Amino acid sequence: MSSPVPFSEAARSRLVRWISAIVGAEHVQHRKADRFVYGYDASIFRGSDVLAIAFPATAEEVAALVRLAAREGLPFVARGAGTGINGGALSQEAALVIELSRMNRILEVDLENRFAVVEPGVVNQDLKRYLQERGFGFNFVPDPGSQVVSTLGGNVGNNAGGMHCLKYGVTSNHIMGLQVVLPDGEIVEVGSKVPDRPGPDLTGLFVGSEGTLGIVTRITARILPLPEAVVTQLVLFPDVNAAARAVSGIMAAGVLPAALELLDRKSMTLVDRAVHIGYPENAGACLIVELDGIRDGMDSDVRRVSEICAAQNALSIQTAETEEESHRLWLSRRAAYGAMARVSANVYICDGSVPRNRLAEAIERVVEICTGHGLDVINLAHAGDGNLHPLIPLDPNDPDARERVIVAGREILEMCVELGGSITGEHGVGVEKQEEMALMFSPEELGAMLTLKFALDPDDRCNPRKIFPLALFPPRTLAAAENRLPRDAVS
Amino acid sequence: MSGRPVDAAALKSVLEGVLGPEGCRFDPAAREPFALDGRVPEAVVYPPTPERAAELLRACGGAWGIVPWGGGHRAEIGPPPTRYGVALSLARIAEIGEYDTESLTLSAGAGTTLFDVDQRTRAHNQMLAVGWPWERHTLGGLAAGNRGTPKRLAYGALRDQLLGIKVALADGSLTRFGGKVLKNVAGYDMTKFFLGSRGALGVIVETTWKLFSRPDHEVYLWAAMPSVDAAARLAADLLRSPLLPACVFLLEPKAAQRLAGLERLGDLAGRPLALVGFDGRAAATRRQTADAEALAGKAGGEALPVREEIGQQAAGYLMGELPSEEPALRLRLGTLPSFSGKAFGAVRSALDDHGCTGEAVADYAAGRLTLWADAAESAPEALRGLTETLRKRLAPVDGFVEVERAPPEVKASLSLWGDLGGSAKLNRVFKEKLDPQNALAPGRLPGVPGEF
Repeated sequence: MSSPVPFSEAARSRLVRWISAIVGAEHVQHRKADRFVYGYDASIFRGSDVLAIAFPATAEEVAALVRLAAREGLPFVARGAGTGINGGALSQEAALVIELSRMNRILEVDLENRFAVVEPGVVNQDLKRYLQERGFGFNFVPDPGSQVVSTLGGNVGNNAGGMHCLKYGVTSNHIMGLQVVLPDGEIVEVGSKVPDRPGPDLTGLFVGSEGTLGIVTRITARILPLPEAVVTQLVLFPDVNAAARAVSGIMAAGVLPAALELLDRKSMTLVDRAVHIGYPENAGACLIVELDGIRDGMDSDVRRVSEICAAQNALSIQTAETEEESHRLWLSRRAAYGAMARVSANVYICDGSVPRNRLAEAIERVVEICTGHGLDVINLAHAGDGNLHPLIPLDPNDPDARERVIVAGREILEMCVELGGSITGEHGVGVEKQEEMALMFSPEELGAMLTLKFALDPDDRCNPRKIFPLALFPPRTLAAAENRLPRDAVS
Repeated sequence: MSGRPVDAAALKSVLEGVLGPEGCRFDPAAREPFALDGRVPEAVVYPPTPERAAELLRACGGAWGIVPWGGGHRAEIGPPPTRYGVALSLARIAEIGEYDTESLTLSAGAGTTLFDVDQRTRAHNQMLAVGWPWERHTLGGLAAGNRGTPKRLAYGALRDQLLGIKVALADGSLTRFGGKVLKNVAGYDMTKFFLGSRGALGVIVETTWKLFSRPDHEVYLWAAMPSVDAAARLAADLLRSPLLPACVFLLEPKAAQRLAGLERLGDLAGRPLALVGFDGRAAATRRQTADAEALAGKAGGEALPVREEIGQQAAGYLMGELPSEEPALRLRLGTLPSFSGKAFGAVRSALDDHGCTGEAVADYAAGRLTLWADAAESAPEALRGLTETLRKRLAPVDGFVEVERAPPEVKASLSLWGDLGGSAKLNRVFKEKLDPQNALAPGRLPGVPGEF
């Protein structure tokens, strides 16, 4: 934990009383041990001590808390499950945490109009399960790796991705409307169940704003019918270049897979040790291809994919015949993060994106960068949309290694921007990449975004000091500045 | 005329100082085509590059109202600008820049027409799936208006296909957001923020789009149904099924009369139509067409396959391309798809209640009805009453009515957008910060007054 909070216990007690009047005393946490937990999330960063944690149950309670924070000039941070890895859910100064786990109801499901209305604390997988268990034949498609625990509010905040973005898009493409508590405490609705309302796409603005423009208290999410047929193929290649060429070939042939996932040799080896797939020694890369859609004619797409892969010297092509086989093929990919735990308890997960046709080159340069810093790296990628995930094992107790990882991470992001991509494909900016925003955006562009931020939150109290380079925020008072955690500190 | 007296000499000096005499037109013949509800700009300018467009905005310094123009298609949507010194034409910023056939992305100037994009991408068997390649539609106008796409079921809405944007802001900054990659969550999604902003938050000068491979087959099916409700129920059944229609349009009989080739329907021609399109491989479209025919039959309808051109013509009609002169009023109704049948009923009864005539078509998946209507002598009270009645009837499903076209006296007497809720406050807050002089398309951003 960082430097002591310049917030007296008397002040904290007073704050807790006010919060209790809004949410009930049983829904406030303020003891040191409770606050300690909220200095952590799934990232490698550590947050400052927080003021207190409030657990509202309704949008009105959230609004009252935000108005309380406004009245007292306090920063506040909305929090879902804390699974984000950019440090965005961590307070960098003494702040009120507004924890949304109690707002976990699925309010409405309308199959005919293809939407579900949910509260932000609903877990992504729980919505999928709700639809599946009732035999509705519909699904909420966005499937970030954290879906079994991450919440829809967090998914909206970070515009989460997943493995099916190539065909179906990211979270933003599945959000029709939001209810938001603005930093002044006003509750507004943007978008709705009825598409294409006149004016700017404000829903699109709030999705991915990482809780810096307001707190989302209700989400109207698009749900889609389950595809009639799904076919999964696992293809082994001699190397990453061959796999990447196959990806380009598949897209050029007019086949739009639902998913196209790539693993390099190292990731395959790790996965093999963990779940015993049995990859041959000469396989340098693996592609998982998932096709979905109308059953008729799918066999010709499957054949086409196989032909294209064979033309790139594929070593083997397995096609799942059953759902069980499909799960087994997917295990290669889904077990990757867990398999990393055998190498290192801590992993730094990079998240850049590049144009699809630069993917092989990007992966090669990732290896060069990491090797140059004496670091190991395994590579996963959402190959179809050019989103890289280099995984770098990290010993948090070795400050030198930690520094090398951070430098390598920055060089990887610089490379992604150089190749025409982005510093973040799906994990968001948070604190992790806030200084790297200057790689992608000019001062005028950063200024335009901050114009919107300060229009709604002139004092930067709504998840403060996030996304943008720190120098662009107005200076805090000395007390708050003393409390700030350096952005690259890990513990 | 614009609201305040314009210092014509000062305006000329500033504009020609940036673009030279060759980039500016002041003669009435050049300005008249850019009239909006009778308001004619003082000048029309043609910047050749995004940089010059930005420079122009900087030089103007908010002194005059500036309205960006693409091809002029649907420029009449929205109130007339409260200040109208300059029509800023994007016609010269019309080059296709980066076209990446491997990554399936295309960047082009805002003045580039859909026709030009189609010509270029067709050679690679690719397409921009935002509509048919009409010559007057420009990429910038498409993004600024955000009026929808005919095949959103298959390819998504505009918000799903627009990857990046370059915008000249009111202060003369030239900004770029988004880019060529499909996944990019760095910073705020300004690409979506400027989508639908109607030229009032910034001047869109370049856009980057996601492309698709052209489908092997585009097939359409007409289903002549016993009633509009039956047509709506067929649409609902199609969308609940595993079938993947690319589009489902509903046309009541009067609207359907406009479609060429209607005579093929013979005795069925006077019935409401559902027009269903499928894109894809031959086996998939064949099977889906057969299944759709069966569903139509079960619902009491009779189906006929139609040629691709008729399907495209119908979709064009639905996107506002009437083959003949438009009536006085055009309304865009937004509703829940499931309410579409009732919405048609609400339209019929409202037309009767107010002594109006009209015809309506619907894009079922988008929940969009387009209504063309008129009254005897285009009586303003009748047209206004019709609009307000429809707003009340759609309110229970959170629907809306946007007035896209109306006589000036009707436009001046009612809200063109209805209740915008919280969006109005947000639009105003952002407008005041990004364009404090309210110079860009003043009065045309939903919910924001023409004068601060």
